Amino acid sequence: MAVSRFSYASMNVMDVEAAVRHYIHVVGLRETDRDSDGRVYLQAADTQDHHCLILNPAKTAGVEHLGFKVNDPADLDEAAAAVTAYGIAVTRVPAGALKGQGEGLRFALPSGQDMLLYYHADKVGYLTGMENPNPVSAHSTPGGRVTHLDHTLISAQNPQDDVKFLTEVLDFSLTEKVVDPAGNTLAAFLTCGHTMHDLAIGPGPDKHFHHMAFGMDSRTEVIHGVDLLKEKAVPALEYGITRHGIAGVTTIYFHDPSGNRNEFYNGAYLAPGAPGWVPPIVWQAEHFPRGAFYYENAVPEAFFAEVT
Amino acid sequence: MRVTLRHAGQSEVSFACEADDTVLAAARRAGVTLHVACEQGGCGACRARIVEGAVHYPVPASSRWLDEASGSECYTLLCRAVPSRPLVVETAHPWRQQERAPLSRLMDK
Repeated sequence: MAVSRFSYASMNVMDVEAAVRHYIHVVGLRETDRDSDGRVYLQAADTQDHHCLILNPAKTAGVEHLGFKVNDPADLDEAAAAVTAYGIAVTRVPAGALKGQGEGLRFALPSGQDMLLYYHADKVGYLTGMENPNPVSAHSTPGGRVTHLDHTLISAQNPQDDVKFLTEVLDFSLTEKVVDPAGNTLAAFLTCGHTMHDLAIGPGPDKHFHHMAFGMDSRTEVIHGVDLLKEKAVPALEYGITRHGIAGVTTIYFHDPSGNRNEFYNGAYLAPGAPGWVPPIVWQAEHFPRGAFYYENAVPEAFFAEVT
Repeated sequence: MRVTLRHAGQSEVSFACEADDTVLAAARRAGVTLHVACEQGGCGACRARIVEGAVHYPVPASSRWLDEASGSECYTLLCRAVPSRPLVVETAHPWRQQERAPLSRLMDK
C-alpha cells in the first residue's frame, strides 16, 4: 500500500462565500475552481495540485471527507481489497465527480469520518509559476503566507480503533501517542509521508473535526499570521502564538466563519521511512498539558471539548 | 431587549441586548464572559436552552445544535443568536463575571 500524502480537506460550511473570503483573505489560499453543486476549490501557494480545500454548502460545519493521494493507480484496487477485507465498506467514486481529480475510493474510518483515496490530480502549478519562477514564495496573496495544507486532527471516541486500521491496513506510521495510566491511546499522530503527522486522532465524539493545519516557512511567518488574525479580529484560541510540546511546532489556532478550526504552524520534524521505521514517542496523560501547549503547560477546556 | 442567563449553581444574570446584537456581544458588554470556542456558530460551546423568549439568526449557525430532528436537544447558539423577544436561557456551561480591576473602572465612561 502506498498512501503518500494528505492532500485535501472537503469541509462543510454554512456560508460558502464567507468561507471563501476567509480562506483567501485570512488563510492565504487561492481559488482554483467552482462546480455546479456550489462547491468551491482552493489551493495554497506552494502546491501544484488542483485543490487542498473543497468548501461544500451545508447546514452544519465539519468535515465532509478527507482526501489522500496514493502513489500508483493500482494502489486503489489494493486498498479496496484490503479495506473490504478489514470489514469496512468501500465506494468507488468516478473520475469527474469532483473537479480536478481522478477516480477515487471512499470509505469511513472506524471513527466515522470519510476518507477518499485517489491517484490523479489536475495541476494548477505553483503560485509563482512553472516557468522561470521567482525563487521566493509569493507574498502577493492577501492572507497568511501559507505554503501548503499540512495535516488534520479528527476526534474519535476510541482513537485506538483508527490507529489500528490506519497502521495495519493503510500502512501509516505512528509517530507519537498519548496514553492513559491503563495504556489506552487518548491521542495519536500518524504519518503516511515524510513529516511527523498527516492525520492525527484526538479524544472526542466520532465523526467530528478538530482542525486542519496550514504550513508556513518560518516562525516569522506565523508571527505575521497572528498579526493578521488580530488585525482582522478573527476569533482565535486564547493561547497563541505558542509552541506545542508535541513536535515543538510554533502554532496558533483560529476559526473559519462556520467554526471549523484552522491552524497556522511551522517547524514539525521529519519522520520519513517505511511503516514502523520510526518508533513512536509516548506521552503519559499527566504530561499531556505540556505536550499540547508547552509554554502554558495547560489545555484550555474548550480546545478538545468543542469540535465541528 | 432583556437577556437573562441561568445555570445550575450560579445566580442568574440579566443584561440589556441592543437590537441586532448577538447575546455573546451583549454579554461581553455587560462584563459576562460566556464559555465559547469558535464564536462562529459551529462548535456548540456556547449552546443554551431557551426557557422563555425567541431568537433569530441573521448569520447562519450549524443545524447540528439547532435542529431537533438532528438528534440534539434543540439548543440555541448564543454567539450567533439575536433575541427577537426578551430572552431567558439556561446555558450548557457556566459563565464568568469579569473582575472589576481599578484600571477598567478608570476606563469606564
